[in-house]
Amino acid sequence: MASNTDDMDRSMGRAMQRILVFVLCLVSIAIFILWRLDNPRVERIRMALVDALAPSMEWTGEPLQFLAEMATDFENFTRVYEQNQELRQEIQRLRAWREVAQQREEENAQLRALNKVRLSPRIAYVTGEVIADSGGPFLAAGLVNVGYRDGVADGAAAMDGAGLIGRVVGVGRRTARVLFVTDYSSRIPVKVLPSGKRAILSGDNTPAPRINFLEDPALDVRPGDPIVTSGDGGVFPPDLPVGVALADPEGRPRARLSADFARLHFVRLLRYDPNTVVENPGGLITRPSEISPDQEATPMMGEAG
Amino acid sequence: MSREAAGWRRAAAMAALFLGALVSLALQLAPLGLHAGARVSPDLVWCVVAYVALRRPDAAHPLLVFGVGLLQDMLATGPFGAGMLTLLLTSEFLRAQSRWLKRRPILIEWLVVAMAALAAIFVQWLMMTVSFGDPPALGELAPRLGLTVLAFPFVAAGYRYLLRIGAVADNEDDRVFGAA
Repeated sequence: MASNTDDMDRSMGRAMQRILVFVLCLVSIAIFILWRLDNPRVERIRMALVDALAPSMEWTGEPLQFLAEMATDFENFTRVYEQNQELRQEIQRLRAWREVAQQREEENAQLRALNKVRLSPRIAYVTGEVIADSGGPFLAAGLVNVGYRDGVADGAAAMDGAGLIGRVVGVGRRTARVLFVTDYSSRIPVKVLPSGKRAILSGDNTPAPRINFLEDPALDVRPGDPIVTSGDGGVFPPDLPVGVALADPEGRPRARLSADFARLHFVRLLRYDPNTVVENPGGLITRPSEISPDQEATPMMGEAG
Repeated sequence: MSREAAGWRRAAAMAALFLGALVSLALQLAPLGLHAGARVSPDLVWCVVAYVALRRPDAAHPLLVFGVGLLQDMLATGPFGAGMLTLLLTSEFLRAQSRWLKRRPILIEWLVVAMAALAAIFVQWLMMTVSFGDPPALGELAPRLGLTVLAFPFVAAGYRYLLRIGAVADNEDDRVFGAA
């Protein structure tokens, strides 16, 4: 009798467990569907948890990072003489380029003054530190220890000292998640210099993302051409350095990134406000009866005055 | 062993699962290699859950596994919800195999774990593909699968010989839920 009761209890327990597993599976699928449909809202919930755990992530990541840096430093120490020589040569090259850059800057300023060109407002930025690699096989992303309290907005461009590394896809109060340009879902509008041809930089989890949607890849881009952001769509500021064009073994154009992902510790998140966009032309058009004789001699809006 | 002692052992095993998952997650989140191609790392959280579901099925409670999966999906930028689902399905599958595998050689157990890991990654890939996501090619996921399968014996050894989790006799199975 007792064993019958025990058996019934066990059967009941197993049945309840199966129901629980089924319900949890349904909840997981529902969360997945919600994430695919309404990514920004779900991302905000995610970032709220990351905000709460960010200090502990910094604490746990630092020892491992320290060990990794020790290993790198030891490796570098063994080739310190070669590095010294390389650095000396690089300093000489850079000194020459500094002179050229100063001359160009003076010429640029003179030409701007001649044409009375108004520059866009300077792009402000906030610097943060990478505290966690929140990427995985499906996504390439990192966590930075600055958030909306520091002025970071969703979609902001992220750069290291040399070039673009990605964009912000989730912002919490104290942290932000940056999707790297190498990620499969990363699409950045770029242009190829000096031709100015527009294209899309598509990540494919390789160090050199693809350059897609060129009209004629053979003519529009050559290895060595600089790649910069085009500013299309108003998401990123224009003319941010991205990398340099190269061709893969199949001849398809790719971009060797200027950013150094292997030594990515500090990141700049840009605060970019594009110039005022005219949403309808009504404000530009004035009825002839409203123009006074004095105003007829005044240059119209948009012309250099 | 008395029912009370079995209960304490079960609680200890559950705590070991949760803490092991936290440590694995912390290792996974460490910013050691952010460049493309440097991101291959084993799924240690999956290894921890898989081992406990195999060797201490009573400790891999579905709610606990769900909580671990939720934490992993929120902190690591994977397909949110897919990781939880595959972790749950994996733990239930391995729990169902635990009695059968107890008398089998260790290689057979490892093979079953490898198949479960393959199925878990494939389900995540399929969910992303079906929902018009941008998943990597299946071949790109092979290194992570391989590393996860290779890491499993080390995780198992750590739990069995250091924490003494999973080194139990048949008659110490939990009698409330029991293995399927």
